[in-house]
Amino acid sequence: MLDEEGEISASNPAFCRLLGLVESSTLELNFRDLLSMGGRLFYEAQFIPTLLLRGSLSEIAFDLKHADGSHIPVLINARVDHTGPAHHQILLAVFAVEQRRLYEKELLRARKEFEQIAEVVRRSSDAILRLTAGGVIQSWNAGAQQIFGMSPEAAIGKPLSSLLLTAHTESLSSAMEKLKEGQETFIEAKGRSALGNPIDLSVSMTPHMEAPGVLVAFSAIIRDVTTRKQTERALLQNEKLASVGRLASSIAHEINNPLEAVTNLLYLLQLRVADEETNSLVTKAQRELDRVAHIAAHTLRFHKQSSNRTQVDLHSVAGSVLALYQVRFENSSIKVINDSVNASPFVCFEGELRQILFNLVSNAFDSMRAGGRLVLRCRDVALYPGRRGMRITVADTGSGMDRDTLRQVFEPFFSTKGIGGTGLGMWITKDLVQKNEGTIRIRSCDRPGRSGTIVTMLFPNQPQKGQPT
Amino acid sequence: MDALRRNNVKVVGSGEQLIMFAHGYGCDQNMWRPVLPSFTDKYTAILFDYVGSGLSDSSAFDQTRYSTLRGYAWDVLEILAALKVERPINFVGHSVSSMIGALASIKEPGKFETLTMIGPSPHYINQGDYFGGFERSDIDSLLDSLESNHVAWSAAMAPVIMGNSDRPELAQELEASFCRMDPFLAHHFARVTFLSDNRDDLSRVDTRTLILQCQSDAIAGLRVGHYVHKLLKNSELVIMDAKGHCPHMSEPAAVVREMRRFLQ
Repeated sequence: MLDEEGEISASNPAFCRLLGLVESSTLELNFRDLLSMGGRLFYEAQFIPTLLLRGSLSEIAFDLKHADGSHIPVLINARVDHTGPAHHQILLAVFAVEQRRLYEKELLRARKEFEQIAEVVRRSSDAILRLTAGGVIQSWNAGAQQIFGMSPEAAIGKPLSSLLLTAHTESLSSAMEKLKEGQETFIEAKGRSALGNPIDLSVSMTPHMEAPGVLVAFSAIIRDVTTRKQTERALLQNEKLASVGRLASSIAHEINNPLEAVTNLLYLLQLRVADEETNSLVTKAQRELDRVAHIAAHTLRFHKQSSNRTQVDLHSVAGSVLALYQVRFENSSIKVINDSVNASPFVCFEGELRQILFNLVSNAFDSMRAGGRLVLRCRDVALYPGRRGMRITVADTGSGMDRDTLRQVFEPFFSTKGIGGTGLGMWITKDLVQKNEGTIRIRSCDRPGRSGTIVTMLFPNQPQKGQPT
Repeated sequence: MDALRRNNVKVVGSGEQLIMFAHGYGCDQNMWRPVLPSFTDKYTAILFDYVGSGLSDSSAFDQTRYSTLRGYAWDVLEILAALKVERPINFVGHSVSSMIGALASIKEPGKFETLTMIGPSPHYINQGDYFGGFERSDIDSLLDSLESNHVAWSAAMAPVIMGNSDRPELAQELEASFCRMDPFLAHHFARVTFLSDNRDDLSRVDTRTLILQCQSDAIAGLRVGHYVHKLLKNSELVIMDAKGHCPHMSEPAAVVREMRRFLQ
């Protein structure tokens, strides 16, 4: 029994035994002195005002100090009594609840841990689903929502198979058979994204079994692997191209020496030939051999990465890029105009410029299989007052691009060339142009009779020491 | 958001002057029952519950807004705006509400005629020379106590959930619902209350203030009362011969007497 100030005015022997106190000594105590500082805060701020207002409170948890310094967890039922002579008094019934409190603590701890795990699942970017043994979706996390664009309300209750394209029904049902035997399974399948596009999915499923070996539920972790698959394909293609490049370059290197020998031999041969007809055959052989030497030299240069800006003659760079396609241009009756003879010497990364031009010329060629005209033009321009630069234009009269194609032309993995294209050419081109501080713009028309594409690039001149730009 | 519904605002009395009662941590507007009748003749009294306490709308809880006492102070100002009060009010805050009132009066001094602080503390944790009365570990053990009592307080929520609280004829059930707190938000409110440090704000208060300090208060001790008085430029400190942290509940007559004198 406490008076209105919380002093203990009476207590039974059991209470004293609980606290390890001599019976009479409780009478000099204030109840709050039996509490820890934290408990006291709770007692003063919440317990007392609530008790005074409500008149009674039950099953409130406190820790009381034992005489030996330990803490005794108790539950307290309290009632305010107005019948006595004093203002009011408070009656407390105190129960020791050590075991129960331990159990509650354990429950609370387990619940917190569970909530943390649940939070991990909820926020995972992978779809993590709980399913019935029959494959009906029971839970739907944020990752699932992101991948499939479906709300939990729409997804829960649907079968797992509805997430995959019908072509996979069979592999899914054989996976479910394995689950029934308690095996974890993994399948790769295609599904539809939030926007309705086909996506590559990896689905791994884990069974939840109960005795006697009955499948009661399973979980599925679904990951969107579309980008990874695309990257893998592109990497593979790139690696193929790169190894072809290395091969070409080493062949070029290897044939350089015999080429030189043959060139010298032909020269010697020509000196010894008196007869006019033979002489002209040798001259022809020399000319063709020059072409081979040129191609070999270009292949080598193309493969070599330039690490410094150098001053290049655009006319000859453009010429050597076009030369690689010369035979194909002739076979497809494509007229080529290299209009860059008036361009000033230009400072840039030569290898990269070569690659840019090569990509653009190669695209132009692909669009003019039935003949046409290709113009490669380099001109000095003023970018804005006080800054001069170079404009490089590659224009063709090919099939052109429609609006959708044009919109996506710089996106990686976007290709109109089917199996032959990586979809990386224009993406890399744009990257290289930007690396050289340039801009690239494409205009295209696919109307029959007026079709064609014009790619315009603007590069600023690099400021040079002592020279105005 | 309708501030009047969010904070369960009640307006009683018909006096010309305005008085606003703000409850502290651990209870709700019902804690003013013992003193309220002494003011309703001369004043129009405004009562409310902070979000998470009493019959407030817990769904309005916003962790970021209420992560400092300022969020609660802006609620006070929003209530005054929603009520379209035209004259400065007398604000009475218990415990943590003293600081909430101080913050509101710094932001909009023109809205406040006086502040009455019952058991104020700008900071509960000892720090250097400052004596707040508690260590950080004490506050952690309070938070533990709250967790141990999660179930009991959840059970006390039951009458609201059943919707009986609107039937005053069930007096017992109404009584049983006093000082109800959403158990999750109680934990949050306790953290904000006992971990905030608003010592620097005290010197920015210009409003005339009465500090009611109990002789023996386990939560806000005498030293804290003197500290608040020293930093508040325009304040009067009254040390009451009462024990505990809620003199307006345990000694309502004394509290009413001091307040009437101050408000004259």
